[in-house]
Amino acid sequence: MSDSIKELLPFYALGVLNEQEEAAVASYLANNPHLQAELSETKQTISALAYAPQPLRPTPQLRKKVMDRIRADSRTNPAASAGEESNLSRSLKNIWSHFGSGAMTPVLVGLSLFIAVLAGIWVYVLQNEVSRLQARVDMLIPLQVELNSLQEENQTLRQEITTQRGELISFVDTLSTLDNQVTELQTENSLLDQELGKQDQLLGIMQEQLNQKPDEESILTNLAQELSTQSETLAALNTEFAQLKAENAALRSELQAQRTVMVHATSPGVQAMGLDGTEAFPNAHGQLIANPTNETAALVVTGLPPLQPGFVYKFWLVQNNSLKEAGIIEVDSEGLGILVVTSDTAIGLYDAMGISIEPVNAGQQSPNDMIMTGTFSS
Amino acid sequence: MTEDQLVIRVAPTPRATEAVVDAEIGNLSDQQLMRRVVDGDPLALESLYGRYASAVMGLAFKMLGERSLAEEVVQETFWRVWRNGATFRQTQGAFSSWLLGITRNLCIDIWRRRNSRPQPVSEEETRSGSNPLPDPQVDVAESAWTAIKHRQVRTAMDSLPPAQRRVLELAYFWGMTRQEIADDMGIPLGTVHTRARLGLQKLREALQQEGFED
Repeated sequence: MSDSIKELLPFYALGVLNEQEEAAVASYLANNPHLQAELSETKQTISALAYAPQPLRPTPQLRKKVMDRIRADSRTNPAASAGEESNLSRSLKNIWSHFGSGAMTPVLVGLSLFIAVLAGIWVYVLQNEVSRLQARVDMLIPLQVELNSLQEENQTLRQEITTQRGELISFVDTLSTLDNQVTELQTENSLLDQELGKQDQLLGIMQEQLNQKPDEESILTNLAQELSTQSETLAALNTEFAQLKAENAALRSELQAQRTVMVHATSPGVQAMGLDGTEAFPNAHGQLIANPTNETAALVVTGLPPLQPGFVYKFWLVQNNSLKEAGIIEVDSEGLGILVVTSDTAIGLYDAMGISIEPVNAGQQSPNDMIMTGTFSS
Repeated sequence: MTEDQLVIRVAPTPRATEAVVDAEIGNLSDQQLMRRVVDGDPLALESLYGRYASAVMGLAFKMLGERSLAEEVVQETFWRVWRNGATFRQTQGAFSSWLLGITRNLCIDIWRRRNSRPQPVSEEETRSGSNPLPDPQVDVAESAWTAIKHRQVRTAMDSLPPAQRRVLELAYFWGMTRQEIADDMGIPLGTVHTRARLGLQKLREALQQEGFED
């Protein structure tokens, strides 16, 4: 029990036990002087804790408030008022009784009066001094209040300055960061400029190349035109060549025919039988040159005008009033035509010959009227 | 000055009485002043006020955290001294202990009425809350003596292990019970007892070393 009470003792001294605990400790203490001494010592130590907080001077107003209340209470309590004057009068009474009476009385009275006068003067001087000091304090109070206000404002401004200083530092840091970023961007921009310069050069080169392209195109165009022209020329030449070839072929054919005529005309036993044109073709003449015993002959006609397209000159051999187509005569622009006649019998066996104008696809129909005739003489 | 004025001035006024008696009262002990307070002498009480008002105000502000409340406690403390001076007995200990005990109890009563405890007030906050306009009638000598006592106690407290100091502070300044201290610090009840006992023992030794006298 004593151990547990001992443990509670500090808290009993601190006044933080509950009612039950407090009663238990108080009860135990009542019969335990040793513990009472320990408690007293503990209380003394604990009481020192009251001085641990920083002392704080109250305002003059608080003092006035406290003393006004005290004085008001003392006025209602006569003992209080009496107490104020009793101190001084008590002192004076003490002095009076100490210095006795009798023969000394007049001296003492005079001395007392003198002292009273001096005291009065002294009180007056002190009172003035107190009033003067009080007036000074009264003057100082508003100034001090203002000083407090300014100090508070100063403190606020200091805090604001500290805050703004912090913001400024942060702002400077931000600026520094931005500055670095700008530098980086400028470097990057410079690189891009260089790259753009290179690309511009490349574009210039490409543009020059592009500008040269029309010359090549014009060359090609010229070449194409020339090629076209040459193609046309070639075509014309081909056409001319074909014409020449045809003409050559015709000339060869004519030459061959003339040769044949010459061969027939120079062969032994050859005879020439004449043809004459009718009244429609009075200028047309012809000769059939052949050996009457041969089956071939050469016919030469002149004075026959070229025919319209779709018509031809046909050569007929007549035997016993039977006509036999013996060939088509082609005449040139001068009206000369040569034909190599080939028969299945000797030429001398025929009676007459004639030339008519027939349609190209006349077929086996009877011939038209003869425009040239001739007979075979025996 | 005329004779009439002189006669008038001879009759003591309250201010004049103060001027004459202040010097006399200033030399009286706390016990002697208390006897005068019991006799109904406001000047005696005012003298005690001048001696201990700053300590009372400091303790009240520490415990309550509000200057206005602390001033109320100061007012009420000295009112109780005035009204209940007869209950003070020297055998109870020093007047200052009795006076500051009244202050502490008033503060605890205020908590209980409000059903809450204020946040602890640090030394810095106390200094910042101090009134830069000192009461010119504060007893300068006693104020200095209070400041010395404060320094001695603070040094002694700082010499304690933090855990022991914390237990004492929670109990004294915040009126916490043993269980409340145990819950606040997260320690068993037995540890609270041990720390309180050892803390007080060390504090007593440290105060002796500092030469503290109440």
